[in-house]
Amino acid sequence: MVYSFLYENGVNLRGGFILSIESTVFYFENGIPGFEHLHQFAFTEVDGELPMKLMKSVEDEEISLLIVNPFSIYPEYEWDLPDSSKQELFIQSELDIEIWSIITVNSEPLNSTINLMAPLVLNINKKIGKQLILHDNTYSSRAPLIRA
Amino acid sequence: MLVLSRKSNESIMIGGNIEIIVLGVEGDTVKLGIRAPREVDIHRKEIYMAIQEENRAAATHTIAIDEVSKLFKK
Repeated sequence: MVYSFLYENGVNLRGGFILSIESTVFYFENGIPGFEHLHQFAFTEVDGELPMKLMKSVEDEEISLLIVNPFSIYPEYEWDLPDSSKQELFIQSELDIEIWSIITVNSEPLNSTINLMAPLVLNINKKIGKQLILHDNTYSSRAPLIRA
Repeated sequence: MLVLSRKSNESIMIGGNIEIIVLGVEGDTVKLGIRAPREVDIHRKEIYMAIQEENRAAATHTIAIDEVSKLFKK
């Protein structure tokens, strides 16, 4: 199932309430590791100025992940998208693709990390996605969000 | 759990389209070759489990977006 919609009541977040946020639902056929049973995630802007979004499960309201454009923090971040993933996500050109990384927020925000080992790959035209696990060990699943 | 003994270059089939081949054994390390359809993701288990754990940790935190936002605005 693929569709997008407008949240009418906003998303309630600790420390703020945001009204009328546009959000797009992406379908993850295999869920993501740890949440294999969840298939639909709404991607919502959190702040127009920041390279971040909220990825919220449609099926389980308790589950939401903060994601960030990894290239905004690690401009040298680079890997090859396997042909199998391109086929799985019906990717035909670079214009179809968006890459995001999940943030693990630490109680000490400065120690928050981003998962560079398992990026989210989205086909923004087909509204489908998957969390890819990179096979080489170049990138950490707990890379610092704030670079020293 | 089904237990099968295999020698080097012997393989097992899982269903009709997944083949796991023992390529070689050196000491306590077994080298495996895996033939599977493209849509089947293959991972080292400890890596998959680490990503599961990381995702769960990322999802269970009450997200204080304001606090994280501050970091970017510094």
